[in-house]
Amino acid sequence: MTTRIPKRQRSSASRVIDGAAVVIQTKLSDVALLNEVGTLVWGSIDGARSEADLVALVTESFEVTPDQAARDVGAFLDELAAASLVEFAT
Amino acid sequence: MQVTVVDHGPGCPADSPAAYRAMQAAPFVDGLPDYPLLVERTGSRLDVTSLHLRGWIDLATGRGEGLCCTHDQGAAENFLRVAVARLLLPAGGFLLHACAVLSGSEAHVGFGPSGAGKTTLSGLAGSRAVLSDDLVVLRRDESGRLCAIPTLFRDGGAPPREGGYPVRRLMRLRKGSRVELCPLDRLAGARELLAAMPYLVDDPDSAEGALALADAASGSPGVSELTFPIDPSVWATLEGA
Repeated sequence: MTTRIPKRQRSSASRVIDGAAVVIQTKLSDVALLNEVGTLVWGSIDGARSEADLVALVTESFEVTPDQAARDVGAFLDELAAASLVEFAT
Repeated sequence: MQVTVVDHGPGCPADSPAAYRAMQAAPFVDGLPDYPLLVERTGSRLDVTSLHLRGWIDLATGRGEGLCCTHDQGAAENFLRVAVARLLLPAGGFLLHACAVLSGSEAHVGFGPSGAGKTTLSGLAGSRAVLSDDLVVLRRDESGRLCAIPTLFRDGGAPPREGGYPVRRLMRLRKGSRVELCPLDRLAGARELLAAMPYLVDDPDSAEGALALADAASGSPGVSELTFPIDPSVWATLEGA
Protein backbone atom coordinates (compact mmCIF):
# COMPACT_ATOMS: atom_id res chain seq x y z
CA MET A 1 0.00 0.00 0.00
CA THR A 2 1.34 3.38 -1.02
CA THR A 3 1.88 5.98 1.68
CA ARG A 4 0.88 8.96 -0.40
CA ILE A 5 -0.70 11.78 1.58
CA PRO A 6 -2.93 13.89 -0.64
CA LYS A 7 -3.37 17.58 -0.01
CA ARG A 8 -5.79 19.87 -1.79
CA GLN A 9 -4.21 22.43 -4.08
CA ARG A 10 -4.83 26.06 -3.26
CA SER A 11 -6.24 26.47 -6.77
CA SER A 12 -9.35 24.47 -5.98
CA ALA A 13 -12.69 25.55 -4.55
CA SER A 14 -15.52 23.24 -3.56
CA ARG A 15 -18.92 23.00 -1.92
CA VAL A 16 -21.21 20.11 -1.10
CA ILE A 17 -24.67 20.64 -2.60
CA ASP A 18 -27.38 18.05 -2.01
CA GLY A 19 -24.78 15.55 -0.86
CA ALA A 20 -22.49 15.87 -3.88
CA ALA A 21 -19.25 17.82 -4.00
CA VAL A 22 -18.94 20.45 -6.71
CA VAL A 23 -15.24 21.07 -7.32
CA ILE A 24 -13.78 23.93 -9.31
CA GLN A 25 -10.27 23.82 -10.74
CA THR A 26 -9.74 27.55 -10.91
CA LYS A 27 -6.68 27.46 -13.18
CA LEU A 28 -8.78 25.76 -15.84
CA SER A 29 -12.14 27.31 -14.82
CA ASP A 30 -13.33 23.71 -14.84
CA VAL A 31 -16.28 22.45 -12.77
CA ALA A 32 -16.65 18.80 -11.75
CA LEU A 33 -19.39 16.96 -9.88
CA LEU A 34 -18.28 14.08 -7.66
CA ASN A 35 -20.31 10.97 -6.90
CA GLU A 36 -20.98 9.74 -3.37
CA VAL A 37 -17.65 7.98 -2.96
CA GLY A 38 -15.74 10.85 -4.55
CA THR A 39 -17.50 13.32 -2.27
CA LEU A 40 -16.49 11.29 0.81
CA VAL A 41 -12.86 11.01 -0.33
CA TRP A 42 -12.62 14.66 -1.40
CA GLY A 43 -14.13 15.83 1.88
CA SER A 44 -11.65 13.70 3.81
CA ILE A 45 -8.51 14.99 2.09
CA ASP A 46 -7.01 17.21 4.73
CA GLY A 47 -3.27 16.95 4.19
CA ALA A 48 -2.99 14.57 7.14
CA ARG A 49 -4.92 11.44 6.14
CA SER A 50 -2.94 9.05 3.97
CA GLU A 51 -4.21 7.16 0.97
CA ALA A 52 -4.46 4.09 3.22
CA ASP A 53 -6.64 6.06 5.64
CA LEU A 54 -8.93 7.05 2.77
CA VAL A 55 -9.17 3.45 1.57
CA ALA A 56 -10.14 2.37 5.09
CA LEU A 57 -12.78 5.10 5.21
CA VAL A 58 -14.29 3.94 1.92
CA THR A 59 -14.23 0.31 3.02
CA GLU A 60 -16.06 1.24 6.23
CA SER A 61 -18.65 3.39 4.47
CA PHE A 62 -19.49 1.32 1.40
CA GLU A 63 -19.96 -2.34 0.62
CA VAL A 64 -16.65 -2.81 -1.14
CA THR A 65 -13.62 -5.02 -0.59
CA PRO A 66 -10.38 -3.40 0.59
CA ASP A 67 -8.69 -4.35 -2.70
CA GLN A 68 -11.43 -2.75 -4.78
CA ALA A 69 -11.45 0.34 -2.54
CA ALA A 70 -7.67 0.64 -2.88
CA ARG A 71 -7.90 0.50 -6.67
CA ASP A 72 -10.76 3.00 -6.81
CA VAL A 73 -9.23 5.46 -4.35
CA GLY A 74 -5.82 5.23 -6.04
CA ALA A 75 -7.32 5.89 -9.46
CA PHE A 76 -9.42 8.74 -8.12
CA LEU A 77 -6.43 10.39 -6.46
CA ASP A 78 -4.44 10.02 -9.67
CA GLU A 79 -7.25 11.79 -11.52
CA LEU A 80 -7.34 14.57 -8.96
CA ALA A 81 -3.58 14.99 -9.25
CA ALA A 82 -3.73 15.03 -13.06
CA ALA A 83 -6.31 17.82 -12.81
CA SER A 84 -4.02 19.70 -10.38
CA LEU A 85 -6.62 19.44 -7.65
CA VAL A 86 -4.34 17.63 -5.20
CA GLU A 87 -0.64 17.20 -4.64
CA PHE A 88 1.08 14.45 -2.66
CA ALA A 89 3.42 14.35 0.26
CA THR A 90 5.00 11.04 1.22
CA MET B 1 -13.19 52.94 -12.12
CA GLN B 2 -11.39 54.70 -14.92
CA VAL B 3 -10.90 53.49 -18.47
CA THR B 4 -8.52 55.26 -20.84
CA VAL B 5 -8.60 54.61 -24.55
CA VAL B 6 -5.32 55.14 -26.38
CA ASP B 7 -4.47 55.21 -30.08
CA HIS B 8 -3.33 51.86 -31.35
CA GLY B 9 0.13 51.71 -32.87
CA PRO B 10 3.60 50.26 -32.39
CA GLY B 11 4.41 50.02 -28.70
CA CYS B 12 0.79 50.55 -27.70
CA PRO B 13 0.76 50.61 -23.87
CA ALA B 14 -2.46 48.57 -23.80
CA ASP B 15 -0.69 45.61 -25.39
CA SER B 16 1.55 43.15 -23.62
CA PRO B 17 3.66 40.11 -24.52
CA ALA B 18 1.64 38.01 -22.04
CA ALA B 19 -1.60 38.74 -23.88
CA TYR B 20 -0.05 37.83 -27.24
CA ARG B 21 1.37 34.59 -25.84
CA ALA B 22 -2.03 33.66 -24.36
CA MET B 23 -3.77 34.39 -27.64
CA GLN B 24 -1.30 32.30 -29.63
CA ALA B 25 -1.75 29.38 -27.22
CA ALA B 26 -5.56 29.56 -27.22
CA PRO B 27 -7.66 27.34 -29.47
CA PHE B 28 -9.72 28.90 -32.25
CA VAL B 29 -13.42 29.34 -31.47
CA ASP B 30 -15.81 29.00 -34.41
CA GLY B 31 -12.83 29.40 -36.72
CA LEU B 32 -11.76 32.68 -35.18
CA PRO B 33 -8.87 33.43 -32.84
CA ASP B 34 -9.91 33.73 -29.21
CA TYR B 35 -8.67 36.56 -27.02
CA PRO B 36 -8.17 35.04 -23.57
CA LEU B 37 -8.80 37.33 -20.64
CA LEU B 38 -6.11 36.84 -18.00
CA VAL B 39 -7.05 37.78 -14.44
CA GLU B 40 -4.35 37.40 -11.81
CA ARG B 41 -5.04 38.08 -8.17
CA THR B 42 -2.43 39.25 -5.68
CA GLY B 43 -4.04 40.02 -2.35
CA SER B 44 -6.88 42.41 -3.09
CA ARG B 45 -5.45 43.45 -6.46
CA LEU B 46 -6.56 41.96 -9.75
CA ASP B 47 -4.41 42.45 -12.82
CA VAL B 48 -6.53 42.15 -15.95
CA THR B 49 -4.83 41.54 -19.28
CA SER B 50 -6.08 40.72 -22.73
CA LEU B 51 -5.25 41.68 -26.26
CA HIS B 52 -5.41 45.50 -26.36
CA LEU B 53 -6.21 45.69 -22.63
CA ARG B 54 -4.19 46.17 -19.47
CA GLY B 55 -5.79 47.11 -16.19
CA TRP B 56 -6.02 46.62 -12.48
CA ILE B 57 -8.84 46.51 -9.94
CA ASP B 58 -8.41 46.89 -6.19
CA LEU B 59 -11.15 44.82 -4.56
CA ALA B 60 -10.55 46.49 -1.19
CA THR B 61 -11.17 50.04 -2.36
CA GLY B 62 -13.33 49.40 -5.42
CA ARG B 63 -10.95 51.44 -7.54
CA GLY B 64 -9.32 50.48 -10.79
CA GLU B 65 -7.86 51.64 -14.06
CA GLY B 66 -8.06 50.11 -17.49
CA LEU B 67 -6.00 51.00 -20.53
CA CYS B 68 -7.54 49.97 -23.84
CA CYS B 69 -6.69 50.84 -27.42
CA THR B 70 -8.83 52.12 -30.22
CA HIS B 71 -8.14 48.88 -32.10
CA ASP B 72 -10.58 46.90 -29.94
CA GLN B 73 -13.63 48.60 -28.51
CA GLY B 74 -14.74 45.41 -26.74
CA ALA B 75 -11.68 45.54 -24.50
CA ALA B 76 -13.09 48.38 -22.39
CA GLU B 77 -16.36 46.53 -21.92
CA ASN B 78 -14.53 43.35 -20.94
CA PHE B 79 -12.59 45.25 -18.31
CA LEU B 80 -15.76 46.76 -16.87
CA ARG B 81 -17.51 43.38 -16.88
CA VAL B 82 -14.70 41.89 -14.80
CA ALA B 83 -14.86 44.85 -12.43
CA VAL B 84 -18.62 44.56 -11.95
CA ALA B 85 -18.48 40.79 -11.45
CA ARG B 86 -15.68 40.93 -8.89
CA LEU B 87 -16.92 43.97 -6.98
CA LEU B 88 -20.47 42.60 -6.73
CA LEU B 89 -19.38 39.35 -5.16
CA PRO B 90 -18.70 40.59 -1.59
CA ALA B 91 -22.15 42.23 -1.65
CA GLY B 92 -23.77 38.91 -2.55
CA GLY B 93 -24.40 39.82 -6.18
CA PHE B 94 -23.30 38.24 -9.40
CA LEU B 95 -23.37 38.69 -13.15
CA LEU B 96 -25.23 36.07 -15.14
CA HIS B 97 -25.15 35.43 -18.89
CA ALA B 98 -28.88 35.86 -19.11
CA CYS B 99 -31.78 37.73 -20.57
CA ALA B 100 -34.35 39.27 -18.27
CA VAL B 101 -37.87 40.22 -19.31
CA LEU B 102 -40.44 41.94 -17.14
CA SER B 103 -43.88 40.50 -16.60
CA GLY B 104 -45.74 42.95 -14.41
CA SER B 105 -43.21 43.98 -11.80
CA GLU B 106 -41.34 40.68 -11.83
CA ALA B 107 -38.49 39.45 -13.99
CA HIS B 108 -38.24 36.20 -15.87
CA VAL B 109 -34.54 35.45 -16.16
CA GLY B 110 -33.36 33.02 -18.84
CA PHE B 111 -29.71 32.00 -18.91
CA GLY B 112 -27.28 29.81 -20.78
CA PRO B 113 -24.33 29.95 -23.17
CA SER B 114 -24.39 31.55 -26.61
CA GLY B 115 -27.06 29.87 -28.70
CA ALA B 116 -29.19 28.84 -25.72
CA GLY B 117 -31.94 31.29 -26.63
CA LYS B 118 -31.43 34.48 -24.59
CA THR B 119 -31.83 36.83 -27.54
CA THR B 120 -34.59 34.67 -29.00
CA LEU B 121 -36.66 34.68 -25.79
CA SER B 122 -36.17 38.46 -25.45
CA GLY B 123 -37.18 38.93 -29.07
CA LEU B 124 -40.44 37.05 -28.44
CA ALA B 125 -41.32 39.29 -25.49
CA GLY B 126 -43.61 41.58 -27.49
CA SER B 127 -44.57 44.61 -25.44
CA ARG B 128 -42.93 43.32 -22.27
CA ALA B 129 -39.94 45.39 -21.14
CA VAL B 130 -36.52 43.80 -21.58
CA LEU B 131 -33.79 44.42 -19.02
CA SER B 132 -31.10 42.79 -21.13
CA ASP B 133 -30.73 40.03 -23.68
CA ASP B 134 -27.21 39.09 -22.63
CA LEU B 135 -26.03 40.03 -19.14
CA VAL B 136 -27.94 40.67 -15.92
CA VAL B 137 -26.92 41.49 -12.36
CA LEU B 138 -28.65 39.40 -9.72
CA ARG B 139 -28.64 40.40 -6.08
CA ARG B 140 -30.88 39.84 -3.07
CA ASP B 141 -32.92 42.69 -1.64
CA GLU B 142 -33.36 43.43 2.07
CA SER B 143 -36.12 40.83 2.32
CA GLY B 144 -33.81 38.21 0.82
CA ARG B 145 -35.60 38.02 -2.51
CA LEU B 146 -33.39 37.65 -5.57
CA CYS B 147 -33.71 40.67 -7.86
CA ALA B 148 -32.62 41.32 -11.44
CA ILE B 149 -30.87 44.63 -12.01
CA PRO B 150 -30.26 46.13 -15.45
CA THR B 151 -26.66 46.77 -16.45
CA LEU B 152 -25.11 48.98 -19.07
CA PHE B 153 -24.05 45.86 -20.94
CA ARG B 154 -26.53 45.09 -23.72
CA ASP B 155 -29.16 47.27 -22.03
CA GLY B 156 -32.63 46.23 -23.11
CA GLY B 157 -34.30 49.55 -22.34
CA ALA B 158 -36.39 48.60 -19.30
CA PRO B 159 -36.76 51.49 -16.87
CA PRO B 160 -34.19 51.58 -14.08
CA ARG B 161 -35.52 50.76 -10.62
CA GLU B 162 -33.59 51.01 -7.39
CA GLY B 163 -32.95 47.51 -6.07
CA GLY B 164 -34.05 45.94 -9.34
CA TYR B 165 -36.99 43.68 -10.11
CA PRO B 166 -37.86 40.55 -8.09
CA VAL B 167 -37.05 37.38 -10.00
CA ARG B 168 -40.12 35.27 -10.64
CA ARG B 169 -38.26 32.47 -12.34
CA LEU B 170 -34.67 31.48 -13.16
CA MET B 171 -34.56 29.35 -16.28
CA ARG B 172 -31.78 27.47 -18.08
CA LEU B 173 -32.76 28.00 -21.71
CA ARG B 174 -32.75 25.44 -24.49
CA LYS B 175 -34.24 25.72 -27.94
CA GLY B 176 -36.65 22.94 -28.89
CA SER B 177 -39.79 22.08 -30.80
CA ARG B 178 -42.31 22.64 -27.97
CA VAL B 179 -42.58 24.51 -24.73
CA GLU B 180 -41.50 22.55 -21.65
CA LEU B 181 -40.71 23.92 -18.23
CA CYS B 182 -39.13 21.45 -15.81
CA PRO B 183 -37.70 22.23 -12.38
CA LEU B 184 -34.06 21.22 -11.87
CA ASP B 185 -32.85 19.75 -8.60
CA ARG B 186 -30.64 21.98 -6.49
CA LEU B 187 -27.37 20.43 -7.62
CA ALA B 188 -28.20 20.58 -11.32
CA GLY B 189 -29.51 24.13 -10.97
CA ALA B 190 -26.40 25.29 -9.17
CA ARG B 191 -24.15 23.67 -11.76
CA GLU B 192 -26.02 25.37 -14.61
CA LEU B 193 -25.84 28.74 -12.84
CA LEU B 194 -22.11 28.36 -12.21
CA ALA B 195 -21.51 27.73 -15.89
CA ALA B 196 -23.26 31.02 -16.71
CA MET B 197 -21.47 33.18 -14.11
CA PRO B 198 -18.59 34.86 -15.93
CA TYR B 199 -15.26 35.96 -14.47
CA LEU B 200 -15.70 34.25 -11.08
CA VAL B 201 -14.30 30.74 -11.25
CA ASP B 202 -10.68 31.56 -12.04
CA ASP B 203 -9.45 32.21 -8.52
CA PRO B 204 -10.21 30.23 -5.35
CA ASP B 205 -11.70 33.07 -3.31
CA SER B 206 -14.18 34.23 -5.92
CA ALA B 207 -14.93 30.62 -6.91
CA GLU B 208 -15.95 29.84 -3.30
CA GLY B 209 -18.23 32.87 -3.38
CA ALA B 210 -19.70 31.88 -6.74
CA LEU B 211 -20.41 28.36 -5.45
CA ALA B 212 -22.25 29.74 -2.44
CA LEU B 213 -24.33 32.15 -4.53
CA ALA B 214 -25.19 29.51 -7.14
CA ASP B 215 -26.22 27.10 -4.38
CA ALA B 216 -28.42 29.74 -2.71
CA ALA B 217 -30.09 30.82 -5.95
CA SER B 218 -30.73 27.23 -6.95
CA GLY B 219 -32.45 26.79 -3.59
CA SER B 220 -34.48 30.00 -3.84
CA PRO B 221 -36.07 30.92 -6.18
CA GLY B 222 -34.86 27.67 -7.78
CA VAL B 223 -33.88 26.89 -11.34
CA SER B 224 -36.06 25.41 -14.07
CA GLU B 225 -35.16 24.27 -17.55
CA LEU B 226 -37.17 25.96 -20.27
CA THR B 227 -37.24 24.37 -23.72
CA PHE B 228 -39.03 26.50 -26.27
CA PRO B 229 -39.59 26.99 -30.02
CA ILE B 230 -39.47 30.36 -31.78
CA ASP B 231 -43.08 31.18 -30.96
CA PRO B 232 -44.42 34.03 -28.81
CA SER B 233 -46.81 31.60 -27.11
CA VAL B 234 -43.92 30.69 -24.82
CA TRP B 235 -44.77 33.81 -22.83
CA ALA B 236 -48.36 32.76 -22.28
CA THR B 237 -47.02 29.50 -20.89
CA LEU B 238 -44.54 31.25 -18.62
CA GLU B 239 -47.06 33.74 -17.29
CA GLY B 240 -49.67 31.06 -16.75
CA ALA B 241 -47.36 28.55 -15.09
